[in-house]
Amino acid sequence: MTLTDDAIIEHAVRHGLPAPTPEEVAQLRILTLRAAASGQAIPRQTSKWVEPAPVFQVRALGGGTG
Amino acid sequence: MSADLVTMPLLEAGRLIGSGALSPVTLVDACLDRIAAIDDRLRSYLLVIGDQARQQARIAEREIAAGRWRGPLHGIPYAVKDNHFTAGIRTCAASRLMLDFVPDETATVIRRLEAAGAILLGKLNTWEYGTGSGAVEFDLPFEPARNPWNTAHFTGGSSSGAGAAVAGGTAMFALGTDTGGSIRLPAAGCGVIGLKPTFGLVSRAGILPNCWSLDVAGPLTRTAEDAALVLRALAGHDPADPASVEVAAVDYLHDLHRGVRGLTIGLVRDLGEGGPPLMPDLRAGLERMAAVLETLGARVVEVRLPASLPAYKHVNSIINWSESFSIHEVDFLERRHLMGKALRDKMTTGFTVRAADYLAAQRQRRVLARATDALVRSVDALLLPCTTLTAPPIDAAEAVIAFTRDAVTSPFNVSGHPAMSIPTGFTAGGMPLNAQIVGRFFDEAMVLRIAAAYQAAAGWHTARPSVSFRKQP
Repeated sequence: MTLTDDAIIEHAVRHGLPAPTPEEVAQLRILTLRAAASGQAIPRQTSKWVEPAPVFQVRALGGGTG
Repeated sequence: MSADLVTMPLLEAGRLIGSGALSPVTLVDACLDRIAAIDDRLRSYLLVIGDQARQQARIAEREIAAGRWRGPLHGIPYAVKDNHFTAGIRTCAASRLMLDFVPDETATVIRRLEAAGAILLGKLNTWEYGTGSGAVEFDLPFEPARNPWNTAHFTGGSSSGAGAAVAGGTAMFALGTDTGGSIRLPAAGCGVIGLKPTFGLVSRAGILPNCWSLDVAGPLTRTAEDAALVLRALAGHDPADPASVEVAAVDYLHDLHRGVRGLTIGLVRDLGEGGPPLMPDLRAGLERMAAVLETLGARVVEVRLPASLPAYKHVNSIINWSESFSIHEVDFLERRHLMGKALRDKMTTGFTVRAADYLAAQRQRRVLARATDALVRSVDALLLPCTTLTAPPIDAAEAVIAFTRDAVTSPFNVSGHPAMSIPTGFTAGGMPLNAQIVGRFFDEAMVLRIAAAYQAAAGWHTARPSVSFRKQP
């Protein structure tokens, strides 16, 4: 599947950016694909009971009491 | 003379000051003289507050003469990464977005050091907002910091000025922040100690946030003993930081010199599938350090991290990009033309991360943290590489990015464990080598104890860069 220029421009504008220049579209494509690759590389939990780690995860794992 | 003073162990300087044999004014002047002599080449500072530091030194001198010595940090000059807020003093985080920003509050860690009597010399260089893409783009309002061991080389970041200042002797110690390695990487690049404490041990209140669930503040020092002394002053619960954890106060100096006899050290040689290759000099340094610890009586056993390095890095990156974007979204949407390319690229990446990927990362983080904790609890501490490269020439763009990208630091931001980078020698070309010690949650004392034993045996911390004699490339 190709990430089209129009899709990139539409996403940017819909989320508050001015319409990107062609150079900005090219950079957005690179960075979008990088973020997507990292996101896809993270394994999904087969259990529905693994909650996201909280900000206070060290405390949740038994370190400290505050 | 001034170089000898500014590189003196903190406890020794503190004893001399406490006994009246050394004036804080002399010590502050020695640091300011060194800054004046070499910081046009090091660029470790964005702002020096010399007059204020001298005034504080005179006050400290009078207090001590009157019998009100506050302890071994009283009269010791230090500096902070410029993402730490300082009331009435510009805090710009190396950004055009904040060039005129003067906060009206002071970071908790600075207030704690003030209470201990330490004297702030100024604000240290950093990557913009203390973050970025790993690249040095030379497009910020300040020139990047340079490595004191060779000023043509990169320091490591993002606490770039902190690494340069401690190694170069323009501060006796420094404070930095670490989201994926930003204390440990400049420490590793510049050949000093960099300690990322357990997440929650040291307050981040009053420090410009980069990523709420990963940011940690901590010291860069020349020795483990110095780090123990500074951490003792920094640690402690702070209700102003929602992540701050209430744990019993620890005197990190108490067992510092107990040695390592009888300890079990888990040595990580293999970084797993997809792990970057380790530079041979760094591998040799790691093996030498393990051999020294064995000679001192530790049992060294080979272990492996429970997941590959990329598995940790993807989690760290997605969380970091997402939270950082959330923190700086308004700046990105309204004033991104003022951002340098490295920050703008990071924000743009965060702009594109899906919520589902962020939550998958936080779910996987819980799994990785538990597994990592099980490994760390199976031994007294881990020993593993910190960086997989030494600090490259600053104009070698790909190598500069690889220095950060291929480091072994982010697993312990993901897990929250205390981790320290420690010098293990030098390359034939004179650039510092490093390794990393990782401890159990809130067991910084063990990390420091192992580091102190190694430093006493190996002695690398006594080497000094000859920055004052080098020419700027």
